[in-house]
Amino acid sequence: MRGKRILFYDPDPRARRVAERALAATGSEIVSAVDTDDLMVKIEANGWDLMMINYDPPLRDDPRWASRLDTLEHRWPRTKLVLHSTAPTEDYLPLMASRRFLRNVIAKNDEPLEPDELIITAEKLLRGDLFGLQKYLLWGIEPYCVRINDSRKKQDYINEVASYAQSLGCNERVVELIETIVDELVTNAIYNAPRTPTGEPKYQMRSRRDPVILEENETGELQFGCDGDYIAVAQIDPFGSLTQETVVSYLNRCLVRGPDQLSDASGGAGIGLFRVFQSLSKFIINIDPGKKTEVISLIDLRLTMKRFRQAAKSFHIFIQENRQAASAGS
Amino acid sequence: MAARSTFAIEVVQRDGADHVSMSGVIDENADLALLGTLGARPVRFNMKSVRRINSYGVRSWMEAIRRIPRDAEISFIHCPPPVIDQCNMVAGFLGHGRLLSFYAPMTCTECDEQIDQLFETAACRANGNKLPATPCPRCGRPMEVDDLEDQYLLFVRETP
Repeated sequence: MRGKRILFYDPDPRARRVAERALAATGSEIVSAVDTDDLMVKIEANGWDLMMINYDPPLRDDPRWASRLDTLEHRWPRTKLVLHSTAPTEDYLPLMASRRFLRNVIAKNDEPLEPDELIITAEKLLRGDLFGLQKYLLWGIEPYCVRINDSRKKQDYINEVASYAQSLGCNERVVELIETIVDELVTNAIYNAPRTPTGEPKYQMRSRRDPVILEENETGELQFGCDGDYIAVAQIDPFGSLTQETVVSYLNRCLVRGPDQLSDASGGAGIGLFRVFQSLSKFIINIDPGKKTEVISLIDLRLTMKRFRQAAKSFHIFIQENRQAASAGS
Repeated sequence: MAARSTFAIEVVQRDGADHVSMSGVIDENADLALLGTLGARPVRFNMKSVRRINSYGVRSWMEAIRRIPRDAEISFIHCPPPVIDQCNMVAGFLGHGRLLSFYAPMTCTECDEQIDQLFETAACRANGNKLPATPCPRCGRPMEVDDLEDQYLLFVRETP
């Protein structure tokens, strides 16, 4: 975005080249840091709109960096932070519980970095335009839409997306991943998302065996599409009740096998979000608090199942800022 | 697709054991109450046609499997990848049962053939907790498991 300044850090010169080229193409001014000393100096030069920082060790394991990044939000409220990491998900998820600045993590796998993901992530943050599945698919792809309003129709919703995946030639295991994602997202939209006018969960404590028909103003939406590289599924609800804390705590509880994995606290088992996360390559959650949530799941169709299991996953939680407050702060 | 998703359970008494066959998706619509009546004889679950288990299904399955008395012998055969994934992810998924045989997704890097191959758990244990060699049915070259072998075979190391 023209007129914006981005600070990029990665020790790998190939990653820097990819990022400089991709981010410069958006019209922003890009400045790279080549090592952590250089990064420390450049961070202190206020005025960045966005910092994109490699979060692999030694930086990740250095408590001074943890506290430094933790204070960024207070020191420079306008500056957004995106981290990228080669670490497997199991390594960075537990850190998210204690490090609030870990909201956007781009997976860095074999390739230096995906230019598309850098650009999309940067532009979403710089423009404050967070919502929309189309951002993650090639131009011209029109996602299919299904209204979610009746728990008894859940299998129909699943079948619709699964049939689409089969028509694309996805194999049985990929179709199963997609079915898992849709199953859990639809359950989330019907039972977990809806709130009463006072903000209390409306159907969360109901058994998932009890049918629920959503009111017109509670209706959710399922969107899905494919651009050849990725198959994408999004679930949208008009509540914005999901929080970063909920996401992180649910995912972390399921990471450790043991008696605490299954929740007794709600009508569900509390492992739905984790099952979604296990079934995808990139996880994007857009939240406009009290107004709207969009959960986007992307599966990389270019990977074998073995590579899919090995590959790190990208994880993004974007919170829509109050636009008046955001413009006052800039 | 709807028919493949519909849950079904059948119990047949044979050779002094209860043989339980399940198929479809284990979710909130799956009635597992029948499992609560088992335990008077050894129970053998054939899981071959279980397509998927959702998060609610995991919880109701765990509750159901725990209702089978501990002194009843339980075994699982022909467990497909979706069941193996649950065994590896959720502690205690098999209750006190033993998993005797399972399918693994195999792929041939030479001719791209893909099959689900049946393996005996005991044969994996005898092979150092690895899958025995599997020749490709099309070209005869050795096949690889299309998953992370250590991760897929976690249950071999961690269950009796």
